[in-house]
Amino acid sequence: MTARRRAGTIVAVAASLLLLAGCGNLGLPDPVTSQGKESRDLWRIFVWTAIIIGAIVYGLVGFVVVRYRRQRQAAEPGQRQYNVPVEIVYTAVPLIIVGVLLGLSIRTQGTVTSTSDDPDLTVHVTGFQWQWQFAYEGSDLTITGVPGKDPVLVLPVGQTVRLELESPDVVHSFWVPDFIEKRDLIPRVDNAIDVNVTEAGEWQGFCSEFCGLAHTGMRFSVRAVSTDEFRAWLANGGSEP
Amino acid sequence: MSRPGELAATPKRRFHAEVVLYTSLAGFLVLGGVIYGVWSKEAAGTVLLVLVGVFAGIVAGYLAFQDRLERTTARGSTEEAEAEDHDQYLPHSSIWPFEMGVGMATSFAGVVLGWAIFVPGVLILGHSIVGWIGQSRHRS
Amino acid sequence: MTVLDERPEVVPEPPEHSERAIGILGWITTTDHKRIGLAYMVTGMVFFLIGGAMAGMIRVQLARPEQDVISEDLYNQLFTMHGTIMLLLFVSPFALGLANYLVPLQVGAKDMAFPRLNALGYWLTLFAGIVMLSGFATKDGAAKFGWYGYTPLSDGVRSPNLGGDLWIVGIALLGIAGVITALNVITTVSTMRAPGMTMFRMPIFTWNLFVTSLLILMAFPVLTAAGVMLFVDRQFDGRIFDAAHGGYPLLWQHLFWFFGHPEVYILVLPFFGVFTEIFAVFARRPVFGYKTLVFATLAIGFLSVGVWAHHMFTTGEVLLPFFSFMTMLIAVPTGVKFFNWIGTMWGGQLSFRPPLVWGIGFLLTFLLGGLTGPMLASAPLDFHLSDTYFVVAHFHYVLFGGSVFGVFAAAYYWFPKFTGRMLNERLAWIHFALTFVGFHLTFMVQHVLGLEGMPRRVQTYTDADGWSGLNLASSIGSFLVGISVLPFLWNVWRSYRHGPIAGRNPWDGQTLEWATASPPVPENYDEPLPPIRSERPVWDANHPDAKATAH
Repeated sequence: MTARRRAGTIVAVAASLLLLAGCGNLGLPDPVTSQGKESRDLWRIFVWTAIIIGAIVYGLVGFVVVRYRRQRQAAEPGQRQYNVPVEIVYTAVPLIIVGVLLGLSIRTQGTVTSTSDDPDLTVHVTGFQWQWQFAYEGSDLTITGVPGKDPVLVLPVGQTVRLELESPDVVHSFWVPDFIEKRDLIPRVDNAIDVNVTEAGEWQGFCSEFCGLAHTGMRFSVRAVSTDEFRAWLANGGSEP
Repeated sequence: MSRPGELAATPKRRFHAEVVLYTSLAGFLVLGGVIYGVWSKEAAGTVLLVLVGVFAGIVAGYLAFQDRLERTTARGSTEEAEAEDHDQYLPHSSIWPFEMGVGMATSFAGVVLGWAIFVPGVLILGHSIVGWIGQSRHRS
Repeated sequence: MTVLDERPEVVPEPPEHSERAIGILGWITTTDHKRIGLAYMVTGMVFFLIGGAMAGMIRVQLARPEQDVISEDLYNQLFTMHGTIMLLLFVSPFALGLANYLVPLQVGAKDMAFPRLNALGYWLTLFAGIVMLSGFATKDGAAKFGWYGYTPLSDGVRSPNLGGDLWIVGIALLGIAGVITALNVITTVSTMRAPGMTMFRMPIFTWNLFVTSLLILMAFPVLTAAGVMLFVDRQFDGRIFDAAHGGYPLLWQHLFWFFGHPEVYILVLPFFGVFTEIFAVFARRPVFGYKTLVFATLAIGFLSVGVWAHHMFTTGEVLLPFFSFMTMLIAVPTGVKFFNWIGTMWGGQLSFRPPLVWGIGFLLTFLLGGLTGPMLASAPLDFHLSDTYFVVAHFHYVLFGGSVFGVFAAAYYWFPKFTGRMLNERLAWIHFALTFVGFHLTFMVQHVLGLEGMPRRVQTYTDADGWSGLNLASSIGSFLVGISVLPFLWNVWRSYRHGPIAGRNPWDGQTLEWATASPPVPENYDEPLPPIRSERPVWDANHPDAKATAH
């Protein structure tokens, strides 16, 4: 094999592996919270259902288009205009499918939106035009983003973190794709979510409700560290000791 | 073979299908609104659902009432249909819709843009209303 | 032997373009539902091009990371007006234009019930568009708070620019215009049907416009009211939505989406009707499951009033299971329609003329949007997907695949009736191919972008985000969609003057509009109507040996 062909093969194999890894989550980012994992599992069910239904319907359309093309010297085709048993079946079956999906969704929704009575950490997240601010309850640490420097929300791994979401001006939305979760920040509305981060890492966060001129740049990031590192960081006034 | 344009059977009530439809819609919305209201305790959606349901109910009631009036024809034949159509006023042409459109757009925009636009808009609108009604009265 | 195969023995006279008043004055004073319908459709197409140009600019800006060819401020105006124009000034007017032209013809009436009111509706639509677009000429630009105008962003403090107020003026005018057409359709359908045409013998297209009109009556007044409330807040310090003074910003979202969700069914139901007619005619079969289709349409209409807060799942303030339930439920009648359409073609003799080609394209495209819908209806999944490019992909699949494909299908199907001439079929294939390929390239990748983390309404992104390749692909696709309209426009322009003569019924159509001349005489029918014994009186008259059967 020439060097070029070998390089090409490596790239192709790597790409396929990456695709397969993405395939595990069927397009969703790898969830890093326990809540996110529940949603990811639900997602997989929905995607497979969609693939199966899609294949059946595309198959039917494809069949019809090929099989019933107009023949040259044909008589008028059959003029059947209804078939009650068939119509009942294709009304009932989708109803059942939808019912199952609904039940699963409500169950997952309950898990994902539940908030504990006693979270390990509470952070007051404020979104304003056009920055984020994180205030750690129980300390006087407040991190505020400035233009050119997005704020970092540092969180401990394995603990229940309550994020209380407030806005003094317009509607914003707190979104961390890797959490598979977002919630809006609405004036006069007290929103709160619980997240349990399951691994260390750093991930992007976005404002995902259009909030005016500089909505695009209203970003933040989340960095999850071990509980010990977190305590040290917090005790050190929000910087590495 | 029946004559062209004749129904196989004349319906007993002219708006029966519509009455059923609007009544079902009203029932669905009011019931849905009550369930929603009790379950969610959210005011806006409850009011909207119930209110729209009541409006649908008003239409249903009106059409049911129309069905009872003896003079309602069933358009069972072409002669009956043509007699009824003759009572309708379908003018061939009219400048008044255009002028009223200009008047409405100008006066609405004038609320934002200022008196210089609002006042002419209202005048045009008023003129078009007079003209429109006048055309109806003279059936020109 | 079918009409499609026959050559006429005598070359018919070119259609007469007879009118009452001539020239510009004729158009300005017309009350003829056919002319008003055409005016709506042509105006709608012009707004389509304007809205499309805005989309092109958006995609140019997003083609590469960290570009600034379009400033943030202009970008925000562009996506706001793109949405507003496409939904309220293109699709809706075009659909109502079709309704205006065809509903009286399909029920055997001479005109709409209220001809002058009908004309008023058209002028209000045109002027509303002009007023809204005039925002671009103001100092601080057009409305820029997104087409759904969430408060508090859209209030007088956060969006004080004149363009925002002009937008609200446009909304008020459009609300009145929509209600006018809806009233006309409902009254005409209920009181002016030809003898013999019971409600259950009306064509499905007319049924769909009837249900659409019911939805308009339920939804548009709410939008207008909300617009007035926002206007009061902005201009007169109303404090309705102003949180700082005891107002409730979230109220706007409830009001807007109570309109907004029925609105998308208002946009798509007419075209479901269009496709139903096309599948039947081009398969040479009756509509399969007529009653089921009617009940499915009614179910969609009824249910659509109760799903609005699925746009608000991430607010944390709505009853999630109620709205998940209603939203998932609404997928069922839509799915039923799909099977009815397939059933209409099943066992038929399919003729792949342009209207049916668009119909097949619709089935293949809309289905994908219909499959992603339930995903969004599931609250926990929506927590990730809401306000991302996944939603943008979803609604373009249903709106473009449903309504825009429907616009073109209707154009190819009824152009012969409107003008008396046939459109060129080779240009039609080029148009379809470019649109189909361009559309899927533009929007398929946006599902992935949304899943990966790209939010909506962002003017740019960084290279590190990893979204560059897909955005470039999407922008290339949008360029294809842009040029795809050119063969269509050229086709319309040329065929209007020089296309082959169509005759009364070139497609062997089944419903009453095909029982008259092309274009129809001013009072619609030049001959007595055929007997109306079923939902397809013209087919029954032309094919007495091919009546509909039960099995």
